[in-house]
Amino acid sequence: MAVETFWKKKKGVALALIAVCVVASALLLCYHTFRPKPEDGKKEIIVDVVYEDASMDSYAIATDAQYLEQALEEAKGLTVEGSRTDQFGLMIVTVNGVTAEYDKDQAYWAVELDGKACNYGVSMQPVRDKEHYRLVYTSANAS
Amino acid sequence: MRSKTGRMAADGLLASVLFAAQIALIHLPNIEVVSILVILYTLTFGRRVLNILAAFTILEGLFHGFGIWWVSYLYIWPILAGLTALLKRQGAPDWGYGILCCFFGFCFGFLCSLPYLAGGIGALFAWWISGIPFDVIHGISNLIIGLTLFKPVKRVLERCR
Repeated sequence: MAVETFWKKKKGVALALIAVCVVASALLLCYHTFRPKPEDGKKEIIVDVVYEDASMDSYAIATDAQYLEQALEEAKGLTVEGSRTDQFGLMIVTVNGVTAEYDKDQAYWAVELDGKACNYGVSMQPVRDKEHYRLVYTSANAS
Repeated sequence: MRSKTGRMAADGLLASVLFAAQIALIHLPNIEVVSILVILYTLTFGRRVLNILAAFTILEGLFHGFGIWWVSYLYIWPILAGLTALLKRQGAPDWGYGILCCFFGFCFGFLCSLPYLAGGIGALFAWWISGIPFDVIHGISNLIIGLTLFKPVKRVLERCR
């Protein structure tokens, strides 16, 4: 009887909390299913750095790294620095000593994969064999 | 009854409280009190919340820069205020606003990803998917914050009305 009365009073709260659990689980399932999945094993990728004056440095990287950030760290002669957030990981600000800080320089380092803008940041971009990346100094004022 | 000037000054003050609350918790991943404050402002001040949100959104842009994320601030907070007004009209119990706060947290990433449609549906989808763990944290923390802060903050705001 007491349980029945409690259920009548708290039915709405209980249903709402169940809905919260269901939605949280569905979101995590979506994440698990669709998140970028890394590839194990040795990969060979090319990373080009394109500067403001269109000059370019090219790096061939052989790596076991799963994500682009680690692969960039392994490239000899290439230095990449930036700011970091929990949600998006590393945001590239400086490449080989050249800084593109949006607030100050009205420019940013665009990350491209096979000629198209990457959908993920370098910390979440999975690396696959024979991929061709470009880090491009991009001015916001360029047409 | 306050004068129009008095109400405008109060709205500015309430917007600055919202902004200060956002900055105070900025280092915690998607844990915030802005959502519950927007809900409570809507319940307490009605349509005046739109003035408060306009001032808050401009402050956010001035402080953090008017990036693409800022576009989403033009509609996500008014959506929350609108949903709150709808719940109020339905005579929702106090805990209902905690649940609204929670679902708003779950949807936050998706709502914020809409301006990225400019880069194609792939960009929108990738942006949303990569942030889902943070949306779940956002929703659960909003639920706890919403249920615990709703009554005490409401009492304080009603005194300020």
